[in-house]
Amino acid sequence: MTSLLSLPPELLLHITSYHTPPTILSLMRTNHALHHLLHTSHALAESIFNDIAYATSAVYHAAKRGDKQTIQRLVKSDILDAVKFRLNTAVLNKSAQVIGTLLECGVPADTRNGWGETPLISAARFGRVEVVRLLLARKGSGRGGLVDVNSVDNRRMSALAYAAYKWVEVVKVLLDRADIDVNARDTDGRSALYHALGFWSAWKNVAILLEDARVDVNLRDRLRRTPLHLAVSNGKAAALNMLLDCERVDVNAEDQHHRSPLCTAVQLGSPTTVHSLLQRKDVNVNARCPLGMSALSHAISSSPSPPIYRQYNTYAHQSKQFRDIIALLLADPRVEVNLPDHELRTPLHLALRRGRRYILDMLLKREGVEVNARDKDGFTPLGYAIHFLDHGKWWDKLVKLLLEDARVDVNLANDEGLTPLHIAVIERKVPLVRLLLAGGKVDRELVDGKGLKAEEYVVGAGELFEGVFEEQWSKVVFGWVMKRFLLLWDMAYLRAN
Amino acid sequence: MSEIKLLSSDQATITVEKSVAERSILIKNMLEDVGEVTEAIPIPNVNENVLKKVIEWCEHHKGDPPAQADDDSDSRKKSSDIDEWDQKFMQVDQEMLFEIILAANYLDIKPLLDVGCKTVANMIKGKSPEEIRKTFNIQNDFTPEEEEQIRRENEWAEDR
Repeated sequence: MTSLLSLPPELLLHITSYHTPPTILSLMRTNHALHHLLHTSHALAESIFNDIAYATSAVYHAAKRGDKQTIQRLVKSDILDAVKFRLNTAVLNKSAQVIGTLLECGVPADTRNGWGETPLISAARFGRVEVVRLLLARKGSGRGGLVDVNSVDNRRMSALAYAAYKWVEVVKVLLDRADIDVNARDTDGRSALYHALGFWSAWKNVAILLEDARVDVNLRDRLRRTPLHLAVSNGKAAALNMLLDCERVDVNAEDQHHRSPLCTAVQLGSPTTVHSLLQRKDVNVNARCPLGMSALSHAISSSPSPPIYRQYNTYAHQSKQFRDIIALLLADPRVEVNLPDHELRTPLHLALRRGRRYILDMLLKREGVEVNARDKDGFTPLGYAIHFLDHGKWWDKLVKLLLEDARVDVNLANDEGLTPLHIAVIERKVPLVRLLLAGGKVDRELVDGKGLKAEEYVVGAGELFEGVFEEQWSKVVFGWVMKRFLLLWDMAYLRAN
Repeated sequence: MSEIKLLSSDQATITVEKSVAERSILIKNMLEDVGEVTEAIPIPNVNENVLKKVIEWCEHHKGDPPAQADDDSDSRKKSSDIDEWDQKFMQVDQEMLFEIILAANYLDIKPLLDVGCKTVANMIKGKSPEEIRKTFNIQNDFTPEEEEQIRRENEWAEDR
């Protein structure tokens, strides 16, 4: 009687070569003889070899039930290499016990996946604290045994950099290592602290890293920005305040445009950030950028113009932000209010150029403001205002505000000898001429560099200036008479009814 | 067309064409060594019924191209498809089937051996151990504990 079992072993193996692992395992479970034959031969290994999914699943099951022999056999037979079994994928979702078993059995721990990540980096990136602990606890022995805590991936990101985004526990575990490079920088030159600041939800990591004495808190990235610059431009108060609480942080470090953090904060229009920065004792509030603009100058010249159309809500908001910033800066006694820029314009000049009345108000109220400062062409703020203000809304109100200030000298000429009155006449700004003359302080007889009085520039535009210089008195008398007449008219009307 | 005689294990003489008999590598090699033979060639391991079956297969497949030498290299992707005539040919009882496989192995007829093994493989495929035991009349000599342990070791293949 010939049966299946009477076939010679090589024929049985030939038959199983047509099978997938489940069928082979079924065969193994029928009988001692078949079990022995198939267990000792490579039939199973070969069919696993055909199928990556089977091989990985087999390894995981062996690790789960603690079958170290099987795994060691697989590791030694190079089958794991052939099916590309890597610890990198295992660390993402397998339990710590499984990973521990795999590590004990000598599965290499320094393999890299497509992004160049080692298992340690992958584990840190996905917050597997216990796996990170296991990997770090591993002693360097045998093939692929060494776990380098500072290994980096293709972007040169280390495990610490990835953990800093999100995982507090992992960061703690990594910082416990003595040999970790806490200031490792990626291809953009960013350190772990920088990455922690990138996500405002990682503020705990920021705190932990700042406490660590090894961390260089002023490390610049490739664009020469320090962590403080990032925090300022992110505008997240929590992280920023933590940085500012740290004494080692250089609060005046210049960025790639040689701007101080305070200037950046001002330009971004964030009053809370400015407030936080001003809390530091050692902040240089008068730091100037290459164009000589101080924080105050930046605040004034960055404040928004009224919108022509539509976006009024945004304007109202931004306008309020900048008003708050200017108020904060002016309230600080350290701020020097007359710092000129590269064209020797003081903040007052800039405020007039910007044409915002509230800024002018605030500046004039601040003590120590120099109302008669001259810029590089000798323009006083008044002359500057008359020269630059265009026919906008309320443009003459600004000049009026200046004229009402007792400190303003209305007769100061610029380098060409032009007084404010000269400028107004030459530029044909008739309402301003009227304003200047109405004040009564203007000296009409002053001459400019060419020896001409302001009135002499009326030439060629006589009809525009009709009655401006000559008929002052008649106008006053006429106005008085009209007022009286109206009053009498009113009284007569009331009496009649 | 020359003919040769084969002598089966139960002393029956069968006459076949030489080209048909040369499908068997064993006989082919023997004829090349010995040259012309007139008396019957003894095939001691194969009885008459089986030998006839094998010769029937060889006659049907005598026009087939010879198997490629590097056939083994892609054995990884072996398919268990069998052509229709072979399927009908293999519809015999189990004992005959295994006899044919053994005879093909002895006579070194690789294509026939493959067909036989594929047929057996298809009978096993997708069956539980219990079904396999029933199909092939195998004794279960495992203790329940052993069976449980082997089942646990092999879990991985099931929950794929």
